[in-house]
Amino acid sequence: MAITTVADVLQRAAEFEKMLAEYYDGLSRSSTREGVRMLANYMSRHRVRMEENLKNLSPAQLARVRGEPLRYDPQAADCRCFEGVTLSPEASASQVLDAAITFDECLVRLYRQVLQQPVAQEVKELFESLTRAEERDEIELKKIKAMDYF
Amino acid sequence: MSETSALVILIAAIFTNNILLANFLGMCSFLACSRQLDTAVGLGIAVTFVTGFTTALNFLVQRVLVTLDLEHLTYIAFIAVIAAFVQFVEMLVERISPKLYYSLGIFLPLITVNCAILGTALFMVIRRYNFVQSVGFGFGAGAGWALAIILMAALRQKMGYSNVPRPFQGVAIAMIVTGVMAMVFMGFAGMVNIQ
Amino acid sequence: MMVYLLSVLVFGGLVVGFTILLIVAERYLTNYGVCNIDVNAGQRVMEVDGGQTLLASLIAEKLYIPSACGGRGSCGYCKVTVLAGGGPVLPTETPYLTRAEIRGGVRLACQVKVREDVSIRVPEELLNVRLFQATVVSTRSLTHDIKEIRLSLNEPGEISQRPGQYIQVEAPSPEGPVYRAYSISSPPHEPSIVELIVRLVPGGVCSPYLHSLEVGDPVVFTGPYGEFSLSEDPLVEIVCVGGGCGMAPIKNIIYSVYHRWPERVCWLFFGCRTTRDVFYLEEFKDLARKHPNFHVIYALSDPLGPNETWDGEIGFVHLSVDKHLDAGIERQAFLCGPPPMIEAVTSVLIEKGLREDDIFYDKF
Repeated sequence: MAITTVADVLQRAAEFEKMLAEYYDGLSRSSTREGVRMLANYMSRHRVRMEENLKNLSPAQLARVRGEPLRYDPQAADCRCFEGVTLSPEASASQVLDAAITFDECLVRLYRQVLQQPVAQEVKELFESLTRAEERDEIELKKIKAMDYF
Repeated sequence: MSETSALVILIAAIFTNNILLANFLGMCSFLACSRQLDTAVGLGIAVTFVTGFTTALNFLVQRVLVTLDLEHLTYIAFIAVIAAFVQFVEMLVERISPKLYYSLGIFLPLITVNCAILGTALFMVIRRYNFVQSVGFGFGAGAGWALAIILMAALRQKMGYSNVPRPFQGVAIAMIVTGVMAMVFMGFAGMVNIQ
Repeated sequence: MMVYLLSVLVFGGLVVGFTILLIVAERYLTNYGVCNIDVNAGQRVMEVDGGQTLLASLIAEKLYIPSACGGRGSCGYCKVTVLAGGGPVLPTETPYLTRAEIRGGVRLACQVKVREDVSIRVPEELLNVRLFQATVVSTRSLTHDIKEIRLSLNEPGEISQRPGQYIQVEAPSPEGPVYRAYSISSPPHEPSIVELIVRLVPGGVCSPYLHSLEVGDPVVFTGPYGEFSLSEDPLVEIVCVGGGCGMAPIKNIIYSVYHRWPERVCWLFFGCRTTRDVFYLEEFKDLARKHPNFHVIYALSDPLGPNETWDGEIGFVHLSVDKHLDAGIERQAFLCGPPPMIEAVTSVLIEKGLREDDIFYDKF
């Protein structure tokens, strides 16, 4: 699918977030480790960055932002995680956290590719705040990993 | 010795002998700073200012060197003058518009090595202009460079909407556009010519 | 021969001339004179030389704004509210500020240059922050990757801290000094000591530095930062829940509580994975023998290995909290650990009748 407007990028990211949320939700039921179940449950409920950020925009703004054309198709294809995630039910908490950190990095990379292009101020602000949210998530995940509780 | 009036030289330096589009000098910052129109305008003004005044300064320096029979110092003296002047402009821009200062970033000090400026000073020597002509030529060359980068930035902003084939994206299409612009400017050639 | 001399002389003269001109220009262009910085509407007014960044000016005036990157504009911690005189928001700041913050005048102090009189607002407690020079007096391995590091203060010699507050340790990095936050684990009644509990994070910046310190090494830090919320009413029970390596603020709270109120009821729940992650258990058991109202419960979440014995709890720490606490007693709770643990423990505590306002934890 060739991306030509911001709407396509947003849709791709939203689909990815939804997929992740469902994936974590599934993991929170299927994992054989209780710690991983708790962690996955927590993460499945915190994958709504896109929604949170879009909520701040008025309908007119949203329409303008979505219609903004992009010069280049953001090639996040080098991130294989967009194709799907596979972790076994026996995966340890630190493996799950590592995977989650990679997903965040993928999203940040996707958003950055939009920011590198000449886009309107509104689009820039939206993607900057999305990038910020994902980077904060990434730091949080790294801290959880460093605490070594699960 | 050319007898053309300074005003004619000014016009010619902008249109028919544009330092960037006819001599292809100063390409580095031209390609790097032409993504946003406001940055391009800022850099264009800064370069015009620097070119205009350094050409005048360099003319005086050159005269001193000639009288002392030290013409071999021309290049290094010109570069020193330009470097010092750019430092001055940097301070000025930071004082007047911090926003422009940050958006120009590294390219402000890099005006020092913008070859359009040194090129202008050297053309002035080669073409044996007098002081008034040199000033006209300096400001004309700077304005011509500014015009080219502003046009380029406007075009590149518009290009965001066009579907550029993958191999041509980025600097490649910018170079092609520069070439087309150069050809367009050749249309002015019949108007007036300085050499 | 003459021509060489003349060349050097002329070029030298040219360069010297320009240098003098530039110095004169700098005098007039980048000299903004003496500017006033007004902090919190007249609470402190400082006179600084204009032209530097706000962060550098404030630090020179001993007002330590937290900053992790050392003023390079890459951490976004040094936020202050600039009420007047900050100039326009720069492109280097926008990535770290939300739209609401930009509207409210929040700026990154390391990017704002002081060019005129500036009026700013900072949180009250920052006015008490000091820069400390300290020396390592002891280091002790608590587990395979957690160290207790005790620092003795040299200049100033005492710190006035309260349990739950943290300091910013300066650590060297290839790009210059960086600052990382650590909670103070020693109680306030030892004012000349600051103790830290540091887990080694492979690939981290500050923890490998702290782990490499030896007795006698100098350490520089600023502090204390953060709020304090321990209830002064001795009848209110204290519940502390820690997970992983989240122990430092809890240790501080517990020792402070028993220094002041030897009879106060206090519960300590600590969750970790295996027996080799357990630390401070003996110290707390000693304390519990002296203070019968102190209850220590450690819980392991991973199954025990072969040949291991364990007389504490098994399972995640929120389950132990649920098991041991009775509902309906007035309590304050202090949590330290990863967000999912905080969430789980909070919901258990609310079931036990605690108000949400009485549950305190570090927001990441």
